[in-house]
Amino acid sequence: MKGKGKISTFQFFSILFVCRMIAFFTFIITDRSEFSPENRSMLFLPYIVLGLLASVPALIIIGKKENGTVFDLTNRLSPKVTKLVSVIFAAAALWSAAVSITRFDLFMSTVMYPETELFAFILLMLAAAILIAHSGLETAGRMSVIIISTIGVSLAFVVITTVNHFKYTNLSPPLLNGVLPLIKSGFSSVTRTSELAALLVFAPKVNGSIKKGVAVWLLLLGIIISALFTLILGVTGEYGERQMFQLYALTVLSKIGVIERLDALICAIWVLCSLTRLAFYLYTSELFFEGGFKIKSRTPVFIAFSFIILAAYTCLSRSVTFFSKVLSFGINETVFTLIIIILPIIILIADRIKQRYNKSASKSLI
Amino acid sequence: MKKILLALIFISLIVLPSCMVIAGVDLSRKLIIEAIGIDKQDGIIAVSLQTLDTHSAGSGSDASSGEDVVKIYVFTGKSVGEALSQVQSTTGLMPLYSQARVIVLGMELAKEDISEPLDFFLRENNVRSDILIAVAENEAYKIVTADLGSSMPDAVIIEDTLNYGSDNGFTPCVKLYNFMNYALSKTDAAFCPIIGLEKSADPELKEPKVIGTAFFKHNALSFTVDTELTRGSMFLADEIKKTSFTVEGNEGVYTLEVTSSNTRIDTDINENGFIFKINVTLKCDISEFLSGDFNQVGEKETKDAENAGKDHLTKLITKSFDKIYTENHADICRYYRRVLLKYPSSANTFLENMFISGFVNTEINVKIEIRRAGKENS
Repeated sequence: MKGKGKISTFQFFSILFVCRMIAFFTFIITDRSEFSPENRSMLFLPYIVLGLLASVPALIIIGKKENGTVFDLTNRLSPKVTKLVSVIFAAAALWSAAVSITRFDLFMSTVMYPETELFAFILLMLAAAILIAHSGLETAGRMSVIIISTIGVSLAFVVITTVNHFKYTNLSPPLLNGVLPLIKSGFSSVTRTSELAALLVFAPKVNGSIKKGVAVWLLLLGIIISALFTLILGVTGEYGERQMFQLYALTVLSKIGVIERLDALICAIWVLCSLTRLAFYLYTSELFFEGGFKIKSRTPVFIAFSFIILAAYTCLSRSVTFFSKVLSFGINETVFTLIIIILPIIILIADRIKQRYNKSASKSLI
Repeated sequence: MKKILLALIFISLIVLPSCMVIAGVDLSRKLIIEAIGIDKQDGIIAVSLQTLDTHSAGSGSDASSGEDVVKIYVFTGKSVGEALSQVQSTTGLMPLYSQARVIVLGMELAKEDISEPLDFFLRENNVRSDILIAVAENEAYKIVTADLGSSMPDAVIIEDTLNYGSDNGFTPCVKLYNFMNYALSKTDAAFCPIIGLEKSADPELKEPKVIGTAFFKHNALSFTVDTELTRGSMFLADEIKKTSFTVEGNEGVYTLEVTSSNTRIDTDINENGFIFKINVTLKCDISEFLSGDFNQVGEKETKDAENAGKDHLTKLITKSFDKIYTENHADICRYYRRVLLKYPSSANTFLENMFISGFVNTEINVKIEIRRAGKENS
């Protein structure tokens, strides 16, 4: 994605929306207590609040200089800090890409094409992701706007055709075990929104108000995710709770008249969503890396990063159990807390101290 | 050049998995399963599969009849999983469950335990959540292997029979996800139709027929009801879409076509405990009025039909309620979950007394609105 030009806030948040939605579509609930049924319908509340709170450090950083990046601040601190931050953020983006592609592989090989070796398909996806990354941010933005429309239509179709199966008695009373589990569920859900880190590096490439964009994006995500969770629970109930891919279990029920088995078509849309997410994270990792290290050409970086993603994917996709076990150590939560909350706050504090020190040093010189 | 390459990769990404080129799994290497029957005898599970012979199906006009296309396999094992694990070694084909239309449980197996046989289908990701479930009058094997004499696969006929019964209010059409929702709950009673075979006009052929409903408690068939009480229980469980019934009023005999039905259960609490109001609201057409003289259906007759229908259904639903709740202590209206949702703090107390005094204060109200005389085109 050569930075030929800027994209609009709508296009940028369309990419982020597609990325977050595919994470939801292929989401595997490894721990039921993490997303207990009674909290699903109210999940949007902690999701929006915690999401907005988590985005504050990133928004302050990019607001320091009009639509700046995290490197505007780290460069003021020291080149070593810049390199360290660059490596950490690039690694986090690569981890997200690997997790994303693994989820997709597990979904495809579990539900769509069981016992099928998808390695060649994943290689093809990586090749496509490299090409998309080269084609520019505008291309990804336009592509995401189109994908959003198809996601909207497909989800609307699923909702319209399954809502008549909704049974109120499948639901659980909200806040049955108090507010704390709801907050925990909200936090778990927010940690899957690692796209927030992209704000730290993409701000100069976006026209318009990012703050407003973040608010609307989180609001929409919170409401849509909560509504879909409630619909899944209301329709599939206890059965859905025991399914690995809950949204897919709902999608299977979607039919209208003689048009049946549209899940295959809907999954084709999910392929495009996964591709967008992969390309976006590949590009994000490259941008973070570029912030700390001078590179002559992006191509070798894209290829090298693709190999890292492929290697991580090969390890993670051994089995659903292995993948779930790896995630159960809280890696996602740790990565999110580190790159969205802790590191940005440390950078802000360090920058503040450095500025004060500079001021006092210049005063003493005068 | 870059754009062309990108376009080519995009097309490949969408087309390749659809063609199964990557997997190298040809459709002809798959065993397309249409119906599954599960029986248990002397501790051994027997799984009967009605499958489509993909080679015959695609080999020209000779294979056009259902009999030629359908192949039956029976596998045995200690569990469904063990039995089905032999599919590939026996047939050389990979089982494809996603096309299966119906799971039939043998009566003996259903009476013993359904949790083990159904566990496989709960976990197998390729079994569709909307596959139908039924209990066989005797052995599931007989239903799955019956020659129904149609050019279509027999599973389609069984599926159509169940769907027809459901669309017309004779039987519940229970899908796997719905059945499991009730079965997985510790308090709800799951239910599904009982399917049997009867002789057709051709003495060599048989026809599937729904003969009642089976109710499950604690993962085993607890009791059954006939088709009459099935309808009453379906009103209770809000499973009726359309149906028709004939009632005798003061002015004549009416056949009422139910065009829409809605059952709402209101839960309330007072000093005597919980009160449940089962409100059944129907919209009906009078499709036939036998008065002995082609009399017109006026306001008086409409009122008469409403009252007669109301009396008839109230009696039927009450009878079903008594059979299901009073006699057999089965909760198909999800009373416990309703109490849990509305009065979470009292739910446990209610659960302890549900079948002692909990459901006693139940009021059944039927409201019928006659829309017109004459039958709507369906």
